[in-house]
Amino acid sequence: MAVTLIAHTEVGSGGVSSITFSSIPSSYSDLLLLVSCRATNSDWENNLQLKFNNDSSSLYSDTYLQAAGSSASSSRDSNQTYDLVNTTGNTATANTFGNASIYIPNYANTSNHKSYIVDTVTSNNSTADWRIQSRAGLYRSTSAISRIDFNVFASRVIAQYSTFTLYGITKA
Amino acid sequence: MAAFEAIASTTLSSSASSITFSSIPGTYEHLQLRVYGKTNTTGVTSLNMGLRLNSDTGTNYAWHIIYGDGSGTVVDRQTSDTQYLFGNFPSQDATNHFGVLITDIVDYASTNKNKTMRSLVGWENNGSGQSWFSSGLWINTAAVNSLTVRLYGTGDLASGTVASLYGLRSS
Repeated sequence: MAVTLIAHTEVGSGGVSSITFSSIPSSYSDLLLLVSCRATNSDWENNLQLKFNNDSSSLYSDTYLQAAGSSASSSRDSNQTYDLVNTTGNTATANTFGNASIYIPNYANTSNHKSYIVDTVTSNNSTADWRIQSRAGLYRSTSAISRIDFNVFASRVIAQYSTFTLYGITKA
Repeated sequence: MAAFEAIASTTLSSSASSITFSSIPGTYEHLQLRVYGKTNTTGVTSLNMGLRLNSDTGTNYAWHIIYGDGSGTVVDRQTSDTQYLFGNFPSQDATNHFGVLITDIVDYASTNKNKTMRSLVGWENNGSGQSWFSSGLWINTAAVNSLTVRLYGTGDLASGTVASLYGLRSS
C-alpha cells in the first residue's frame, strides 16, 4: 500500500464557508481524508455538509452508529442532498477541534455507486456534550469522484486552523 | 514522496510497564499509532489501556467511549483524567491471542489546538471479545513530542506486544 498526498488546506484568519478539493486524479485505488475542524456556530457541535462532484441531487444516504452523552444509538438518512460530517462548534472547549476520517474505496470506478465510511469524534471537555460516530455512506452515482466539497450551514464559518488533508491510496 | 512513513516501532521481548515513543519529530501533519498487544496479567479476561502525551500525568485528559462485548453496548466518558482511556487488551489468559489498536492523532504538532485522538480497538478470543471506538482530548496546545502506551490501571504489557508509530505528511 502506498499513500500519496493529493492536497492539504489549513483555514486562515477569518475562516471560510467551504472547502473544495477539485480535479482529483483518478489514478489511485482509494481516497482518505483526515479532517480537523471547528465551526463558529453557537453550539458545542457542528455538522459539515459533504458532497461529491458538486452534486446536490438526492443521491446520498447513510446509516450510523453513535454514542453521545450517556447513550448509544443508530439511525439512518435516505435520499439526502448531501451527507454530514460531525465536528466541533464554537461553545466546545476552547482550542478544541473535532477530527474525522473519511475513507472512500474504489472512488474512480464508473460501474458502481460509491460507498464510504466517515468516523468522527467531536471532542469536548464534557461528560454530557460529546459525540463519536461511525457513518456508512452511499452516493448513488456511477461517476468517478473528481471533486469533494465541505460546506457549512448558513451563518456559520469553518474556523481558523481547521485542516483538511486528502490522500490517495494505491494498492499493491 | 511517500506521505505515510514509519517513525519507530518497539517489540517487547519481556513484559514492561509501558512503551514510550519520545523525540517525535514535528515534521508530519498527523500521527497514527498501531499496537498489537496484550497485558501480562492473569486471572482476568482483559484490562483497559491508557495513553499519555508528553509524559503529562496531570488531570488534563477527557475521553469518550463506546464498546460492545458480544452481549450489549457500553457508553462511558470522563473528564479531568490523568490519561486517555483508549481501549482494552486481553490478558495472558488469552493464550496466543493479542488485541489490535489504531489511534489517529490529527494535527499533533499544532500549537494552536488541544489534541484530539480517535481510536478503534478490538480483540477476540472465541467466546469473549470486545470492539471499541473512542475519542480522547488532551487539553494542551503543545506539540506532541512523546506518546506513552500503558495499562490504564496497574500491570504490565506482555512480551510480544508490538507498538508502531507512523507519520502522515501534508507537504
